[in-house]
Amino acid sequence: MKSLFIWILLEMIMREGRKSSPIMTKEINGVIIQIENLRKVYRISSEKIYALNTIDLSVNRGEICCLLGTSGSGKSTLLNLMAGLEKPTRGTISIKGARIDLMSEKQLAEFRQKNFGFVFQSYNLLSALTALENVAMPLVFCGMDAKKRQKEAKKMLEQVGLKNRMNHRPTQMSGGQQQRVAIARAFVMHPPVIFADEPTGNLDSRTTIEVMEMMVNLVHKNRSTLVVVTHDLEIASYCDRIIHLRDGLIVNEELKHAIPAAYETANSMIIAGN
Amino acid sequence: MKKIDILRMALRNFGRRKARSFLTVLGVVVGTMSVVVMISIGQGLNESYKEQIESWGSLTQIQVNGTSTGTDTGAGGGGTQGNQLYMDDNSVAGLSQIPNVLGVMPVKNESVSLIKGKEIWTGNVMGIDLSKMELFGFKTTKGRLLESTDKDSFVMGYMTAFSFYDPKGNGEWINPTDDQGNPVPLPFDPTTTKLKMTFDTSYGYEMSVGKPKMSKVNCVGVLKMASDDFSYSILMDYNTVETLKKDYEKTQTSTDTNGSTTGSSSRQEKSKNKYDIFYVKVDDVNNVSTVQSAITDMGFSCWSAMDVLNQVKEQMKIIQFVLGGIGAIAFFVAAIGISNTMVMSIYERTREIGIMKVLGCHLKDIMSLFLTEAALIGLLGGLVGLGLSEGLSFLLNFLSSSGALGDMSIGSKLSVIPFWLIICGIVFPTFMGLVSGLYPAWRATRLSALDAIKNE
Repeated sequence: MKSLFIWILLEMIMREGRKSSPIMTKEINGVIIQIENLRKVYRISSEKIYALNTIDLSVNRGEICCLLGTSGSGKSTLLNLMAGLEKPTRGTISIKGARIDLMSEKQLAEFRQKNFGFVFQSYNLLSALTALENVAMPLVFCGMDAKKRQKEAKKMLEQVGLKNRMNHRPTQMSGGQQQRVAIARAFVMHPPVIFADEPTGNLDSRTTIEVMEMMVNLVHKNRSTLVVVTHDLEIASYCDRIIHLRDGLIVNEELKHAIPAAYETANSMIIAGN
Repeated sequence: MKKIDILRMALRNFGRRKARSFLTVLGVVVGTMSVVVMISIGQGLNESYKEQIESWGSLTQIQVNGTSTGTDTGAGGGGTQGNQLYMDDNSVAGLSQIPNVLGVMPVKNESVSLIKGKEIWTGNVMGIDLSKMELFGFKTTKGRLLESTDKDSFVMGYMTAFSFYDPKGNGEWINPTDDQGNPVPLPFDPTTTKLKMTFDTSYGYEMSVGKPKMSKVNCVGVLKMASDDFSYSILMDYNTVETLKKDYEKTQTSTDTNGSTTGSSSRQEKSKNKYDIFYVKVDDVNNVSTVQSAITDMGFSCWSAMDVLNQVKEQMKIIQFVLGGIGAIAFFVAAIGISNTMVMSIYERTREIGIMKVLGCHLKDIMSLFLTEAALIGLLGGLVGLGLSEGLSFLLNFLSSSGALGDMSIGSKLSVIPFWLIICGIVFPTFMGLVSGLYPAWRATRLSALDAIKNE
């Protein structure tokens, strides 16, 4: 309880300070995500674990970028940092010219609402709500009125081919259908950046293709930027650029449709930095 | 997020866990009921005491019983002869001067017996100023009030009519009220019955000596039921009493050789105190205390039903406080219940909250959402609790009036729910819900979005 009051007090003091914090910088040359010298260190008891170590990366507007790596490579951590779900230990992250590493929880919430869409491996739909309500959720948060958001959500569900599944709850749908609902939810606000964390991890190969093609189409249609985290080379093949991560370092970058001959060889080439 | 959406979402969440919501609301219902019913009983007691005290005499009436000061005090003010204060016409005039006093009725008490055939009533005849009868609000249940043209007439108090009995026989006692405290029909009609009156109160009993002087008197009416002094007396014009008394005494001194010296000396002392009691009528209940203190300052001792009422009110405050305190404990437990439910709910919905945060829901909205839910529990509990309290109150009143709870002769209603209690019964539980929800809501905003969505 004590901490509650302290929090309320701090919140009131901080409110004034935040208004003038220097988080906006200029977006340069179509680079929507700019990461410099990024490091994330986790402390497990007395041991330091470098989840990410000195990452420099820029993602262009409209690009479909893949973060490829095995588990523990730091790819998910990188995505979480970009999405502002975690704070970096060191370094800067600018998205659309805004320093999200400097933002408060409140500012992040607002920024995420307007600029980010999320697709997760485990769909993360609200089980109590219908597909339509799930898709309309981000619109509820930004204060759109009921009729308008209903219309928007319907339109979005039609685009992902779930026109006749609108009033089904997540538990009444297959994994592929659930993920398509999640995709509809991610795109409903037409955000400039979409983050997808292992979007097909729970899906069979046929559905994986369906889902990936749908995402890529929607990204192109909306002129969004997509950052996909995966360990699957097939997924990576849909991307314009593939960034290989290993032990918290970027080890290789590949350009569009240049499917690596062998994943192993790619990983063995240790080129730090760019 | 729009307010309507927050409310809609809170309602949906409320309905999602029906059993748990129901149980939490039940806690609030019990809490609200215990507070409301306890306070309503306090209120009911309060009002029935007030009713009872009012039946002893109007609350705007002050009874002056005599002078409180000795002869040596120089209590000033009107109605004094020199520095001396007596119960006389000067005092009446003086008391009438006090602001907010509507009128003063002097009363002279004499002990008399009324004889109705074999049955006798012994009690007080109050010699009053007839012109004040209306001001003091006397009402008859039978017949009429006294008029100045009446000769040797009186008005009978309600209780007096039930108090005649045959001292030599086994008179049967008639209860002047029924079980509900309502008046019953008079046992006889005094206005048409032949009655005799004597100042010899031993008449008809074994120790009675000789035949006392009987006066033929005529009853013109019976007062409405009350439990004040008038109800147990008979009322007569002051001058009529004096005349009848003189007539009686004349015959007494001639027949009774034992005319006691003490009697005459007490009469001499009394001579300066022409009256026994003054009744002072005040224009408003709120002025009674000031008038009363003015009367006391003049050197009279006085009493009013307000004195008792104020004392009772003080005591009732304590009783209400205790009753309310018992209820408040139940209420407090209910508040803990709400808090617990909300904390549990947050554990269950960690993932959901995480998703909401990731989708860009503002912290303020998450906070509002949980606070609204908690307030809703409070509001619903308050409403249902209030409804049930009204029912319980009705039941209690029904049982107490039907005598099922033993003899509750203190008043008409055992439980009274005033309007302010209804408002409190709604506002307070809602507010309590809000306060109980504060901590859980704060916890919800503190949840890490990342940890929340990882939680599967």
